[in-house]
Amino acid sequence: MATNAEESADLLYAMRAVMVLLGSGIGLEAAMQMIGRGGYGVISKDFKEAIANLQRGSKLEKEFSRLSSKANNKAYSRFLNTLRTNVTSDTDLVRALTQQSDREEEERNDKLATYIEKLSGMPTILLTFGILSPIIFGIAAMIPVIAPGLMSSGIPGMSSLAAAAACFGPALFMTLLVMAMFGYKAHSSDPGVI
Amino acid sequence: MQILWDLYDLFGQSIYLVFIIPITLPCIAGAIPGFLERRRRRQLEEALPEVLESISSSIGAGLGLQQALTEISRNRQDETGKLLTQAIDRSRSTSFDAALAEYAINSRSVLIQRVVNLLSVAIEQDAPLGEVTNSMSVEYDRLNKLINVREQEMSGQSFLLLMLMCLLLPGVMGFMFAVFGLAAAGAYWGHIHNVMMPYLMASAALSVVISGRMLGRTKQALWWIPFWSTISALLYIGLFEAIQSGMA
Repeated sequence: MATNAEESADLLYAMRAVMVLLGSGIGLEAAMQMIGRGGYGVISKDFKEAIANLQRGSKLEKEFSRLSSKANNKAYSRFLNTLRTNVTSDTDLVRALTQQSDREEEERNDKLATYIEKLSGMPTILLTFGILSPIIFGIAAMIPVIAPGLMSSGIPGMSSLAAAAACFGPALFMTLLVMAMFGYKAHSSDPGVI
Repeated sequence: MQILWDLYDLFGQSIYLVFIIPITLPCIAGAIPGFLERRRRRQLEEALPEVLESISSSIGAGLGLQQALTEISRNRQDETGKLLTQAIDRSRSTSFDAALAEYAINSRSVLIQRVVNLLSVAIEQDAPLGEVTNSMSVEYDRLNKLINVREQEMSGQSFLLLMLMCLLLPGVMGFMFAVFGLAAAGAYWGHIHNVMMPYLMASAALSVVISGRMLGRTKQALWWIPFWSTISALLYIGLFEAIQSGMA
């Protein structure tokens, strides 16, 4: 089953293609065949399957209902329902698709704006971690270098400080892991706008 | 010449640098074709609305699709013009549909392949081509703008991330370690370098991946990892050595 992101990726392009064809007088089945030829990811696969079922005698509205119930993405499901309503009630499909694609475009712009806002502070956060961690953990590691006399001064706790110096490498490794976790946000919140 | 020897000497400071430098050069060679290909593809896609508009006007003036495309291929000197000329030439020995399909394949752009697919359906269905191409020109202009928004908005952030993590971070670290403990005063930094070099290289690699993901081009960004890791490590050790020898 296709994921929400897979369905959403090519939806706007598919909507616009169907709109262009219907607007110039081409029928819905021909438009579906065009989408089914490929180039629109999961939507192409679904439409190809629907066309194959139509050739086996299935009804168009039934195919749209089946695809709509299978869809994960709300906008894709709405698109399929609009197509189904047109078949059953002969609605103004071009107008409905124009409204839907405008809404989809607006949603994509909003998602993109949110993504940009979310990532706006990332370079500085990563730099802060990147600089602070070697400084903080490095102080312990640097003491034997900067003040070697301090280690043999007899001050209590110096032995644990010397042990902490050995943890410099693992501490930086942990910093990298934390930085990777912050960086993962760039992947997880991607709106999938191509 | 001395600079080259100094640089060679610098590479020998860390085993990690010795390993990554031979990987860097072929990786840069691998990254450049991807960069050029993307630029070419975007040029073709950016020209698409204009081409469709020209087709629509020519069809409106009474020309056929093949004549309209011939006219465009003659007038355009860019990559689109070249590809269309090639397609028109080929159509003399094959069919026009095959030539259009070849143009779509040679463009290596999903967007152009979709447009050609749409045009083929419109031709098959005897649809008014002028109207179809005009609507497509408007739609693809809007879609192009949507694609460009991400590129424009994120490229600044992505560049800033690379500059901060691959240049500023190693610069600050190299400067700090060099100034706080001079070798001339008896400080030994070998063990710190062994930890700092892989740390800086790994953080540079991480930043390259994140900045690539921000622009939606992670796979292409992977080629740049060795380059930025080397720059980061060289900057750190170079600055450190320069300050150490300068203050000695």
